[in-house]
Order: sequence, then structure tokens, then C-alpha cells
Amino acid sequence: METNRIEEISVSTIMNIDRSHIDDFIMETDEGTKVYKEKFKKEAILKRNKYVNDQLTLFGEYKNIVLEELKIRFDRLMPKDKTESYDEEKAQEDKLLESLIYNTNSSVSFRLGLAYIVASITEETTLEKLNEYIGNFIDKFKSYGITLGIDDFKYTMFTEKYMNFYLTDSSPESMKSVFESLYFTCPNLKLQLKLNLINIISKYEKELSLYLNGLISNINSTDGDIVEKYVSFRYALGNKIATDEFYNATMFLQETRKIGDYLEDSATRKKNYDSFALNADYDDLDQVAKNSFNSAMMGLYLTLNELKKYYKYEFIFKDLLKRYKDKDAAKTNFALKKKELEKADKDRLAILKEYERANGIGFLARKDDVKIKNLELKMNEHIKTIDKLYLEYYDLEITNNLNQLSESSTIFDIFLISLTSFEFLVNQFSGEEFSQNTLYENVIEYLRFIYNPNNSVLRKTNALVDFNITNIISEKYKLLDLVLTEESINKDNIDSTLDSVRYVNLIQNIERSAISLNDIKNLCEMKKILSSEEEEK
Amino acid sequence: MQDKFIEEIKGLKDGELIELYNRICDHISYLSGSIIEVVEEDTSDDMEDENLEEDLEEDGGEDDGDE
Repeated sequence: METNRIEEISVSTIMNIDRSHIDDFIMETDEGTKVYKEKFKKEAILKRNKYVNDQLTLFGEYKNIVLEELKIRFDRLMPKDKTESYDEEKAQEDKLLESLIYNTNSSVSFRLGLAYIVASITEETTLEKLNEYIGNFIDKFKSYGITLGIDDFKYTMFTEKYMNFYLTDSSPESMKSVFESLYFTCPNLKLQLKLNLINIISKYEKELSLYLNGLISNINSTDGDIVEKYVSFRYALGNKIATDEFYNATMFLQETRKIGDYLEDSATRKKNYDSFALNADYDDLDQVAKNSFNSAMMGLYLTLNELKKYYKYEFIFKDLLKRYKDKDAAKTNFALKKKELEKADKDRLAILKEYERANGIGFLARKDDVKIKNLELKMNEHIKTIDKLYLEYYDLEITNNLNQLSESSTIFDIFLISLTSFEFLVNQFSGEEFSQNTLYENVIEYLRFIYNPNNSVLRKTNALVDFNITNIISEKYKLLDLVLTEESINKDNIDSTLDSVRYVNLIQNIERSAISLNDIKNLCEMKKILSSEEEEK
Repeated sequence: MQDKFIEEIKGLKDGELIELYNRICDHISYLSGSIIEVVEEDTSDDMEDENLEEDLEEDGGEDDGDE
């Protein structure tokens, strides 16, 4: 069809005339003398060359006119980049996720972000970072309307001394000298400060809960059901980005993908479609079957993405399932550990009180240097005990929380339980695989996985009976007339299967957007022409 | 002529315009390849050869190979 329309253009006629005129140009004559014949030929060449040169000038002009029109068409056809608007929506989505975290069944310190600060303090933390974290902690409390003072840091005699300096002069030089002066009498000062922060959170638990509840009621009154709002917002944004004409065209324009592989007559396209079609030939399907195939493929794309993420976090699920067997015993042990911890804290206070008296503070108290030294040593040892108790407490806490599950709990419910213990998550994300990101980034990514709007398999699969997730998925899609073996979606093969599904999904996304594959093909060709012209200049 | 051309290409679809561009480029290549180089017959070499023959005849016709 296109050819015919081009043929109708006057230039096409000129091109045809040119060809016959030039090819049929009489260059030689049989008549006359040799000199005449040579003269004839020479004149014919000159005449012919003049004609050709005139036509070259003319077609050079035509070419420029077409180039100008191509530039206009390229700019008109090229979709607008909406990244800025998406960034704004992504920020909104992040805000909703933050609000969603406030509404989870996690601890107050996790929901308010205090737990991240506490978890940041480790043996490896530098002095500079340690002071920065303490500063952040104090600032966070300030934002809740609580001003922390030296009384809050009288956790041990060492934290008191350190924080006394910190609250009066927190310059790096001053803090360095304080740290060095305390280090030999208190080698685990960082741990003591960390436990001090945990203690402060527990001390202000009521105030923090009140503050958090205020936030939650404020959010819920404006946003309604926050989980529902987050999920639908994310679904809509994900859909917009997946069908975004600019992003999809750019993939081909930047040659990340070859447009030739995606057009209807492409062998690659046929191969990918046929690999999932029940009779191994997509083209043989009637329209109803094609529609059903396409709808199933869209679902499969979302499911496989969900499955891939599930594989990433499966170790958490397995850890929790393993603990599930011990949940009954954990109930009693957890309560006992809590009491043990409370007692250990009372003992800590007793050591502190004794220490004050050894320093001559209190009725009839006298300063006793030997006792001071002994109590300092005792405190250091006692802190180690408290730390150990906390580790045991957190370990029992997550197992005990599994008592919240019922027989009908789903995989999704199990993952939700993991959020009830921040320390459990800290342990889970301490592996090499997660070392590229900060703890905060890892937790956020994990939350995005849990609250993925397309987590239908996780939300529907009963977790407490034996199940085979690849079998569940492959059987489901077999019922929808797709070819999908269990093996093709196991951990080893999911990436290559997902590649094929992603290929089909991209075509589907383009087909339901405002740009066609043919438009993208034209854009690619126009870009190629315009770039090579630009290079020639 | 050009105005008519501009008018005509406005009515083409994008794919057709690209096709037309390619055809014009092909035609330009064809035209460029159609130019015949005019070679002026140069007789000066023949003249030099003739002079050389004359010189050789004057010297006895052949190199004696002494050198």
C-alpha cells in the first residue's frame, strides 16, 4: 500500500524519468568521421553529466525537505518523558508505605524508625558514627516532643559519663578524648550505649505509643484503609509505568531491545508466543483463545515476578516454619525470659545505686575507690549478661509471635509475622547477599515484596500444610491453557522463563498503550536517519 | 515544484515518508554513480617517446653497456 502512495508522488515520476533518460542517453553515433564520432561522444558525456548534476542538486533539495519533515514527525511522534511526574507519584507511594508501616503489627520503635538507629550501633561502628546515631536518636525524640536529658542516660556509670560530655560539648575532639579515657575501664561502651537507647525506648513506651497512635488516626482519617490505599496506588502507578510510551519507545531507541524482534512477522516473536501456547502455535488460535492466552500471560508475568521475589525471601519463610513447631514451648519460655530480663535490669539499677554510694552520694555514704573499681567491673560483666538475655529474648519473641497464626494462615500471613520482631529481620538481613544495601533499604524492599499488589499466590496459599509452590503455579496456568512446567519456574530456570514472559508482556503493554510497535519502528528508523545526517554534518 | 512536493509529502504516512527518503537516497547514489569522468586525450607522452627514439638513433641506436 505504502509503495503505491509513493508512486503517486511527482518525485517518483521524476526518478523514473531520470532512470530511463540517463540509461537511454545516446552516447555514440555510427555516422561521420572518427573525429566527429569522438566529438559526438564527448558532447554527449558533457550533456549527460550536466543533466545528472542538475538532478543531483534537485534531489539534494528534495532530500533536505524530507529530512525537515522527518524531524517534525519524529518530535511529534516521540512520546513525552513523564519521569518527573512519576517521581512525584513514587514519593507519594513511599509516603504511603511509611504510613503503612505505622499501621503494621510491628514494635513501636520499628514503626517510628528508632529501631534502625539502635541496630546501626555495632562493634564496627566508628566513634564519629556512634555520635551521629546518638544525635539522630535524640533528635527523633525531640520530634515526638520528648527532650532527653542526662537522667535518661544514667544507664551505667559509663554511659552517664560519656553522655554528660556529649550533652555539653559533642565536638569530635572532646568526644574522642572522653571515649579514650573511658575505653580501658569500659571496653564495651558502645554496647552499653546501645542498651541505653533500648532502655530509653522502653522507658518512654507509653509516650511513643501515644505519639504513634496520633499519627495513625491522622493518616486513617485522611487516607482510609491505608493498606488498600497503598496497594491500589502502587498498582495504578506500576501499570502507568509499564505502559508508558516514552519508556517503552526508549528501550528500542537506545537499542536495549531490537524492534525487529517484536514485530508481527518476527521469528523471535513467534517462538516466544508459541512456547506458551497449548498447541504450540499461537497463530492457529482463534480470537477468543488469543484473548484468553493474552490475559493468562499478563497474569503469569505478575505471578513469576512474585515467585522470583518469594525465592529471594524464602529463607525467612522457612526459618519461621521451622520455628512454628516450637511456638507452644516458646510461649512459656518467652514469659520467663521477659521476667529474667526485668530482674537483670533491676540488678543493673542496684549496681548503679551501690556505685553512687561508693562515690559518697547518699545518706551516710562514703567514697570508696576500691569499691568503685569493683562495681565498674561488675557493671561491665552485668551488661554482657543483659546483652545475652536480650538476644535470647528476641529469639523467643519471634517464635512466640507465631502463636498468632491459625491453621488457615497463608504464606503472606507468615511473612507478616516476621515484621513483629525487628531484631529477627536484622538477623535475616545480615547475610552477604544483603550487604550491598543498608538495613533500611533491605527492610523497605522486603516490605514492598510483602505488600506487592500482585501477591495473589502468597495471599491465597495455605502455608501450614505441605505445598509445592511451583506445582501450584504451573497447575493454575495449565488450567488457563498455557504451557508451563514446574521445572521451567524452579529457582534455576525462572530467569529464562521470565525473560520469555517479559518479552510477551512488553508487547502486551505496548499494545494497550497509545503507541504502536509500528510507531516505535518508525521512530527507530527516523532516529537512525536523523543521527546519520547529523554525523555527516 | 518544491511547494507541490512539500504538499505531497505532508499526506504521506510516517512509514511512507521513510520509504520515500530511502528512495531519494538510492536515487542520489544512482545519480552520483552515473557521472562519467571526461578524460582529455593526452598526446604529450607519445611526443616524448618519439623524441627518445630520435635521440637513440643519433647515438648509434643502442647502449654499449660500458658503465
